[in-house]
Amino acid sequence: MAKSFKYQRPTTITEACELKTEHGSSARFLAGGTDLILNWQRGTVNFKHCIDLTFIPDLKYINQTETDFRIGTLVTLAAIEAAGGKQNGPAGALGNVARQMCTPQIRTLATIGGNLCNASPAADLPVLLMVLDAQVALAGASGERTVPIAGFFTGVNQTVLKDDEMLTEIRIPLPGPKAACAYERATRMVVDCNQTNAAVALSLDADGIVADARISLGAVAPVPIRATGAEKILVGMNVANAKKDMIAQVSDQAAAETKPITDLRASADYRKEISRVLVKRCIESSIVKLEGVIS
Amino acid sequence: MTRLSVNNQIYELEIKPHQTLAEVLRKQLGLQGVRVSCGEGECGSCTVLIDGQPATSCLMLAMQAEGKEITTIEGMGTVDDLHPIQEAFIEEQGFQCGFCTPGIILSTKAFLEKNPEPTSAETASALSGHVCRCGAYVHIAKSVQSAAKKMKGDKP
Repeated sequence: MAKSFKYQRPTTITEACELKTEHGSSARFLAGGTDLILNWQRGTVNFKHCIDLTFIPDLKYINQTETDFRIGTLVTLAAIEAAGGKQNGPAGALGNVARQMCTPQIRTLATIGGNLCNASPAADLPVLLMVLDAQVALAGASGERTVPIAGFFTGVNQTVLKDDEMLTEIRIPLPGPKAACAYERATRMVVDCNQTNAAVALSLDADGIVADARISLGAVAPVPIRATGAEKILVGMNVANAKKDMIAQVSDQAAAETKPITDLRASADYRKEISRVLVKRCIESSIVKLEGVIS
Repeated sequence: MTRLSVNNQIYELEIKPHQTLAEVLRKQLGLQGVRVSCGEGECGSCTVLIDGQPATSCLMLAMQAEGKEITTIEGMGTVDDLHPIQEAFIEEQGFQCGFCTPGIILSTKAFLEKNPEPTSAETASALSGHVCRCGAYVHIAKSVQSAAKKMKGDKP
């Protein structure tokens, strides 16, 4: 008999978690399937029970509250792209990244939650979510918990999710009035996996001085990283007269904090060098956006 | 039994959980206009419309398509009554061997419904998930422009 699996289709989060508790590690949650089904076909991921989440209506929403921006785990990349439009803030930043991912046909299926749970070191969204200071909500048999996105990934394709848990929501705090972020990546073409990617978020105090800076890089370690040493150099900078040598110093420091490997997509040396370039571009483009906010 | 709605017809089918939508459409419904090439979501040959949006049917479980409207190339036009996009692809020679064409035509349909007057850059981006090994890209882009005009009622 050809290999197959049992398919279950819960319609509530509670029901889904109960099924996962019952079957444990022999079950996998299915969202868009563009990673999971492919890996199952290749034989790199195996499971006996497939718990399809796509018929749970409570997991497909994009909401903005007074304090944060919330996305249900099953929102597709196409929906994030469409919600982005020309908006500023988290919606626009996410839309801009979603638009660059995979292909239109995959964006119809692939979800934000699936992208995060797949935990690829080269994934696009985690790097942006790191600089946006996102939190993820996890639901399980013993209730809910939230973890910062930086603590969600534990290794290549590994996360903190327990056997009975699912990621239900992504929460992004709304930035202050003087804030901007940027995302850059190095890849050969559409569909291709990132060689390296980077995001920067800056927020200013009333005097136009950088009060908070976050720099994140992907595909330079088993999990997306923050370049905290480089961030420290940025804090206190006056963006109105940002010096080129200072931006260069920050970018050099960010590159120094990476620990890339050589694989078929890029060499470690190239990844280090392109990290420097991507961080520099992100800082410059954030400053351009901030100039619009200040003036 | 799983109920699938394909090209405005309802089918009651025995489907195994691991079967992809592409496999069910081709093997059980005989809709061989759904082409499978890479089988990994990279080439776009297997593109069908799910509730009007393009999707790679080689990576989607058929079970997941229950309750959604599926459109394949067989649901577009007939030899005697071509869809304007099909007419445009024939007139502009938007293909050579034709293997990738059904998927491209379906993506074009979804794209032109959202963006009836696309630029060539927007067209390239919308079709970026399709590979044509004959390399007919220039003619495909021309076909999309011509189809856009036809669908607006202008003479191409």
